[in-house]
Amino acid sequence: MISLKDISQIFDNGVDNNYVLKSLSLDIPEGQFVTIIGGNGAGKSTLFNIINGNLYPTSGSILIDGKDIKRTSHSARAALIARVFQDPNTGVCPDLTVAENMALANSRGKWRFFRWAIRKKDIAFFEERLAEFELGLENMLRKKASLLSGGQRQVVSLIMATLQKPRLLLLDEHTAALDPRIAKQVMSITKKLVEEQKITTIMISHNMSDAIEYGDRLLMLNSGEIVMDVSGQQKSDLTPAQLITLFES
Amino acid sequence: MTADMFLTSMYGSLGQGLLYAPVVIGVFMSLRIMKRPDLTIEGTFAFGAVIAMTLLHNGVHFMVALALAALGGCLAGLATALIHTKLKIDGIISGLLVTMALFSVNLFVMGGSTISAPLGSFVFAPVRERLLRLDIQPFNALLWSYIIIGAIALSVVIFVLFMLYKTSFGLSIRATGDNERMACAIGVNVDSRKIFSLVVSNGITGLAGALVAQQQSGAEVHSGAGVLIIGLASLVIGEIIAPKHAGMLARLIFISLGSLIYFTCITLVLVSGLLGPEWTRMLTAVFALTAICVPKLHEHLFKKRIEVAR
Repeated sequence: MISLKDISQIFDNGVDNNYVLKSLSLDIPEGQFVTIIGGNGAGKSTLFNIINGNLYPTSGSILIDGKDIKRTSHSARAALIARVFQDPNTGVCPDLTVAENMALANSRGKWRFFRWAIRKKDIAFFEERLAEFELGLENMLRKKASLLSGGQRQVVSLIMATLQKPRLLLLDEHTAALDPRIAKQVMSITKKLVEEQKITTIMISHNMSDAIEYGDRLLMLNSGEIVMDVSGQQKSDLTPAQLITLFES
Repeated sequence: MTADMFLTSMYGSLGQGLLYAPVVIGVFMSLRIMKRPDLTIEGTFAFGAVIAMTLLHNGVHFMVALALAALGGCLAGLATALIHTKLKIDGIISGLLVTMALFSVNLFVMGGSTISAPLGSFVFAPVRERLLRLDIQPFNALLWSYIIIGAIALSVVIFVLFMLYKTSFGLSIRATGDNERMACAIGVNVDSRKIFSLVVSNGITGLAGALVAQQQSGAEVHSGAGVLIIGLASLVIGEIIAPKHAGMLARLIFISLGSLIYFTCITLVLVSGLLGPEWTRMLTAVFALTAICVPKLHEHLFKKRIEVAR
């Protein structure tokens, strides 16, 4: 579905070339749920920024469905790629109502033109999607998003990201700012959404046990290179302690 | 002072408040929707006034004069927006640059530092004549013509903006102002939304400049001085009286009411004879400061109460 070929990213600091990503290649088939772990400066965020178009790689190519999207603009890529951020404040517009936020997400990547932003049937659709999770979010539709808690915002962000099935879903440590109980809840909602719709997903995680428990495949990045790539039995046999040892080596 | 005189001055402030209200809406669009102050407003207001007056002076019909004043405002807004988005220069600096440049443009358009036009050529004239035919006193007829034209112009502006913000496109404009990163992530071309918003808000301000110039029977290079603060004061007054969970239409109406209240307050102080007209600007500053402080004071008192309750 998505493949990265020989991606390198160099930040030139004037003295020497600083490789953030070193000819990284990665192939993710349709519907796979990949988790990525790695320390600070391993290149996880850079990788996401290259995929979503915030950064233009120094070399290499990015193919989605066989088409090179390297020159596709950030906003045009939004039609294919949905994102959920680490900071709950980034995922929603605080001054808009939940319904308005969802209406925005519902037209992600499509031309927003002169038609009514929210129609009656949209409201019913949003209500139905929010009610699935039995968090009472459907009653918050007309409330401003600023009234939602951090956990609620992340759930709404996730539902928004999957309202129109994206070709690729990027989750950037989307539970890192939440307390452990809420984080677990958000992770199980994530799993449900991703599995139901069979969305190709890449999730950056800071949590070793989450990285093992969720997803089909686990990658470890270190200094801009993939140092571990496991899936299936091999992945589920891992323990957080083993991962931490690998992390430090 | 007689009751008649008092009533007349109230009518006067009502008309002025209505004619200035579009400026408040322009300030609202930049400060509240895009969440960035736009200093072009001062330059645009004078630009609109100057364009309209010069055209009327040369015998052009007032509808054409108003339309071109609004168009001039749009172009000024476009200039600021392009400097801001394409050259990546801070929005405040961009606005200052355009306002500065417009000063020269205004002098060039007028061919002097002031300009006036015959009263009969103004947008108010046809309304005033109708009122005179209804046996209304000449001076009251003039004041009522301000109120009627002001109300019509304001209604059109509010209606168009309300409809705009209800569309998908309008929603993406609001999202751009509210959370640019999120807007980007869902594929909104944020630069185009910023440009569009500045073009519209300055177009509205140019129109207001043209209307106010006709009310004051002339324009000069300094016509725009202070309108930003007048707009800000009115905006905050309107927000204080607005209900907490007001929708877009209610917000637009209440900030327009803010303009009426602002001009009524100024007129009351001046009519009472406590202060001379030379103090108008000082009053404006004091009103604006007070209005801005009221919500803060309220919040301060409210927070204290919560602490006590604990």
